[in-house]
Amino acid sequence: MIDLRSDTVTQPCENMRAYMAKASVGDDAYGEDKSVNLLQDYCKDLFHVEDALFVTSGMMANRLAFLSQTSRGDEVITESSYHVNFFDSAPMAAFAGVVMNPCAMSDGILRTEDVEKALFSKQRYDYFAQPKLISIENSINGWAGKIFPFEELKSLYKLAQERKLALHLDGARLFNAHIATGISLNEYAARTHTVSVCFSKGLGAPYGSLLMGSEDVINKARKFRLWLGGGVHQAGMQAAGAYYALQHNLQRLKEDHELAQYFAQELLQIPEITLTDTAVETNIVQFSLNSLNIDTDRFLEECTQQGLYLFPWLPTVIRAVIHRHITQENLDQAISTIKEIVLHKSKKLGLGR
Amino acid sequence: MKKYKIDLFSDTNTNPSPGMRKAMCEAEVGNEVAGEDPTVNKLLERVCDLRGKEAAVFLPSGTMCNGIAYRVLCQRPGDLIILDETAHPLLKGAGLIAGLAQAEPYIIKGHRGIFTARQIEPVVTATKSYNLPVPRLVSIEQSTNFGGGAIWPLHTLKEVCSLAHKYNVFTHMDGARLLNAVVETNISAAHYAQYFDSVWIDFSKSLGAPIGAVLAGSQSFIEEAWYYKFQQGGGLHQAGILAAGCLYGLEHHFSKISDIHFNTKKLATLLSHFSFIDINLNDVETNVIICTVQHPAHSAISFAHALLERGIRVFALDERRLRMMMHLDISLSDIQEVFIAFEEVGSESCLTQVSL
Repeated sequence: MIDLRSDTVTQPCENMRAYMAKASVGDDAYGEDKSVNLLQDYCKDLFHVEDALFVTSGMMANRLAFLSQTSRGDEVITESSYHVNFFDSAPMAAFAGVVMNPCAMSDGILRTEDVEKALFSKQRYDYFAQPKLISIENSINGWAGKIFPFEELKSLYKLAQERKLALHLDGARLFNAHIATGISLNEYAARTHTVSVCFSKGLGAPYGSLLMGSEDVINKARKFRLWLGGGVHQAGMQAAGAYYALQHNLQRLKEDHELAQYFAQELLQIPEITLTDTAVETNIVQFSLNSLNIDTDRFLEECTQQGLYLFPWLPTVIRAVIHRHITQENLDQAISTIKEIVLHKSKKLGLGR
Repeated sequence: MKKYKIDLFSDTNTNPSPGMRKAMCEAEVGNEVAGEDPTVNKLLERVCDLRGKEAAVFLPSGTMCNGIAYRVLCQRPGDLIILDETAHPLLKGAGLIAGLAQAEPYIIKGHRGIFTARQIEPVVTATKSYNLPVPRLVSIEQSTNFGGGAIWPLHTLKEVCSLAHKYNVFTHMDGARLLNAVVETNISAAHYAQYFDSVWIDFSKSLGAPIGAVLAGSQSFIEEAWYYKFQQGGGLHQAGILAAGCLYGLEHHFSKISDIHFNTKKLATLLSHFSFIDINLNDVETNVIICTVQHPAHSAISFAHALLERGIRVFALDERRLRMMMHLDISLSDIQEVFIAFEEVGSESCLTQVSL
């Protein structure tokens, strides 16, 4: 089986498991778990942030960022394809009671001028919804792992400061962006009010995310974490897995990126396939079966039967994510499976005419 | 290394045993949020059997179980959740009943966390009208926490739940310590659970697992629960490692709960000899002791402080009362040590206290 659905499917390796098994633990509900505290402190240094909070998932980190930086009835400006708006269960409406102002950009990058436009897209009487937060993503899942340009982040942060808005960076795959650009994690964090990162994607830990920001915001997040049920007891073994992943699996993301490039190049050799974005910047490749008049679901079903798992991102867009279990041989195998199915379909179509 | 030599603050403070850690780290795992983690699925099956429920969902904490069950069962903001004044979600949930579930607590003054059908009758049977909140859910805790580990008698549970159901009010059992009640009464978890629309158990208390709780109910209840699990950020990836700890706890630590209760009674009996401790031994039913400090020089808070200086942590609930919880990591010799520390602190003069 070749599983390209997501980098969340990664299994903890033997060494990580052994490291987790030895973790010293305490009750994190009382802030007494040494391994959790170690991870939080380590990341405070790494990202140069005041405070960090270990939570169950990236989803939870995003919710906490919204809850702790907005009030009910406030507005959040984001891009429509970002995970918080596109691939979620409206938690921000349900919990934070905020209204989204999602901009649809032609390249998925929310720039300063787009935010300006959104700010002035409606009347802003005092008793109307007030924009309080800008939420962006890096790398951008919905745009095939595209990197949010650093220069754009810088000017967006400047605008946020001027307009007294908070800027949240959903960094579910920030580690991928960091490895791809060489820009340090603290350079990114310095241009945000809150930033979340996830250890359970390319880094391969089984569990956990961090939300980072000022002490004030993180203290609020700590309370909301309890509301949502994310306060846990002996989280140390999980934190140890995350710590191990940071120490051992960060640099190897480069290999995933190289393989993603390779996969994209090979896909391009198949005439019936178009890449939604040819610039593969990190570990995600998205493609469509444009010229084939076939149903994507049927295609994916056949892939699955051949042991190749891909993810249906949109009705016509298929996503492949490269991660630490995937080798070049796997990708060669994947390509030949795809070729076979595509060829078969083209033939069938030809015969039908 | 350890901050406290003997920690009676809560039964959540257990260190996973070497065997449990090994089982966890050898666990077969998959993507939990996609329903693909084999170890989580195995745990869910076990728990469904144990509690006689159709379906179940794995969650990182008991607080999330309560939060999700409340959100599934309450239908409109402002619905009433009927619970005892000592209920954990009321006292320790950072206001989640209002903040998360958008419900209003209807608070019953029970006895040690337990109330009767008669006590909920006025609210449950009240006339329905557009200007009245709807009583939607009765939430009970078996066994109780801040009620001092009391066990709801089966007939009381039955009466409360039948009355609730008669008036279309749902019932929810916070089973953070359900297994303690099961061990003590020999009444099965399924037998208790049959009266409830939703029920959960926690593996991070007497079973000693680091993280994990399972919420169970009907198929349709659990389908709804999944929506909220995802929404609250409780969808996990390779959670099999956690579930393996829970399974290990069920298999290896369930049988130790009776020892924990034995130790609790032992400590309570020892403490009852002190004139400055007021304790009713009949109240010590499971693994919780709540006692009153009646000391000329000590409040419960200063008493707890003095114990802490001796490496023993207990929980001062307020100026008068101490709570102690027994768990897997407490031995009989620990109990001896606690007894001696109580004796020492109790016999100190007022002067020593001032210097603290």
